[in-house]
Amino acid sequence: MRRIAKIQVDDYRLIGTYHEPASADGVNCPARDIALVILNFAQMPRAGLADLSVQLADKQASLGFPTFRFDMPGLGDSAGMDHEGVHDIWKFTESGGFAQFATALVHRLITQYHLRGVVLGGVCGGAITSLYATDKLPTGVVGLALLEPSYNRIEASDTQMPGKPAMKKGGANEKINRWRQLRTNLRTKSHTGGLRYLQKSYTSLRQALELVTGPRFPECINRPLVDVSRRVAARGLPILLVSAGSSQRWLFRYQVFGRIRKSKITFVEIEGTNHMLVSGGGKTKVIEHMGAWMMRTFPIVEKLAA
Amino acid sequence: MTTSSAPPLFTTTGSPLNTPLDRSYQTSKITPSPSTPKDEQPDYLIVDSDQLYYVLTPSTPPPRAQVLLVGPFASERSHAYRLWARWARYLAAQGFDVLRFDFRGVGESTGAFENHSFTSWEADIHECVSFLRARSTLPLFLHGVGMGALLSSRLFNQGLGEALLLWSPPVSARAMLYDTLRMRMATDFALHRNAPRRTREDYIAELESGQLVEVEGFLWSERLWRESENYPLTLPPAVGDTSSSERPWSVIELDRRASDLMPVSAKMAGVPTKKTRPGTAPPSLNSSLGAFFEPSCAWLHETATKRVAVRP
Repeated sequence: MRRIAKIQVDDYRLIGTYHEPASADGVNCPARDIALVILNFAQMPRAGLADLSVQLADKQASLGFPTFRFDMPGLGDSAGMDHEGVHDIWKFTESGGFAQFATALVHRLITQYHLRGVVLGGVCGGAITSLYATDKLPTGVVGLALLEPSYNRIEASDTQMPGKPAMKKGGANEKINRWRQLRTNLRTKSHTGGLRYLQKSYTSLRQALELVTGPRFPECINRPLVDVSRRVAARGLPILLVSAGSSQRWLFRYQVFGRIRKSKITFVEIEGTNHMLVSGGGKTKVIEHMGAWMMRTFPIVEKLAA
Repeated sequence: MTTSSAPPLFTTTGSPLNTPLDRSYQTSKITPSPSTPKDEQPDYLIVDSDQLYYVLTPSTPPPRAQVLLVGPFASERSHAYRLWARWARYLAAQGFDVLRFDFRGVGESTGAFENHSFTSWEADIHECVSFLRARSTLPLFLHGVGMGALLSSRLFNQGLGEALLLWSPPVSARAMLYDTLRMRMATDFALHRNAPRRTREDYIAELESGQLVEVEGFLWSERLWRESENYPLTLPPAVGDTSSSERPWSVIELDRRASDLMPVSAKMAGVPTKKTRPGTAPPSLNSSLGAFFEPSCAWLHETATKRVAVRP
């Protein structure tokens, strides 16, 4: 059973959906005192792309977790903020702009529902907002479900957008691009085995060096988000970090979280799907992983008298 | 049809943290919208044990008519949602009570997508029309976009609604699905570059053999594919000036295809959209929609006025 939830935060009315805890056959089951709150990713409404958030919420509710999905201001059914373009929403999200609404939401839900705490989460932008909000809240958030959080800054991709100076002819960037193009072309030839070997060796060497010397993030990385992630992980919160599979991700994960001793992070990689986790069966897999993680991390505890 | 009896979960006011919100985001590009409808009412209708999600946006001035917005196909919903919500609020500010909803199996409505198809979505439209008829005697206009245009035009031909406005209707349900299948092939190419290439015909064969096929995260069923076979766009006959006829209708294409697609219609308005080369402009959420909204709203106004005039 779903119900409409409305929360007023100053001038902004947040519209959401509450998935009442019930088993799959519709019979009410004992509600847990930990709720899951799923936030918008990017400019998508709270249902998410291909209704991923809806199906995640249905699954968690069937496991007994009260689950909420809310639209942040200006997204979905929550009015109140006009973003000029998609990039503005992305920039606003990556700088933690929605976190203040998420913190208000967490506070209100805990009070209203006599909850022990909430697990915050979402895909991409939802994960980013969850991290920033958790960093602001000393209590209330008991776990994080981060699905494909993006650590890239949107300004990095702005270099391809209009208004930016065109690439200087004969400049360093153009030479690098030509080299990349040449390398790509050569890769398709069978006689490039040696080149590929050299390239792999170089990558391995660079990665090994970074393990010793510490991380060196490129310019495109959202450093404040990295810092927030480290602070939150250092608190020892259970964190589920799901990424669309890629063998190159381990180094970045290590760079962000690797040296934090208290962290309780579960890494899951889903192969054959995209960033939004909806293609190639990604939706089913992420729902399964998240359900299992929630059950494992937050087993049933007798709810205190409301 | 029954409305969901449960009251909204909670409505509370005030700042919970006893601290003012950070207003630094109020830059020139992100601004609070002064036209936020405070009384927009999201709720559910109960249809065959499923919950059908709707949002009713009441008119700000005294209403002249009711408009039922019939949305696009499932995979287009999330991308079109913002425009759809803004359009509903725009119409409400212009004197129309507006109802938008999610088809069963899609978005906020319950049900599995693979268990629903064009016939059940037609039933959803009927439920929404019954709901609107029960709350007001004002004339009811159907307005659909994409697949919604296809469904609402068919129901309008069967006598539902007093006027019909279509935005970019596909020529048929089959053509729409066939076109959307391209997205599956694009995904295959992006995610499984080394896998053997599969064609649309391969996927169609799977559908026809009863298998479910995932397209953009939705599971397409054999039923969906079969029902699309006999589902062409059925426009009402174009007789004279359709805006003054008993049940007026209009089609607005979002590009210059209008005259190519349906040259027989007497009431065909093409709204030229500004085309930009890919990569030359950032994707815009709030680009000026005036040229897009105004002709549609003007037509609805004109139709509502004429309907009032011909009333006894």
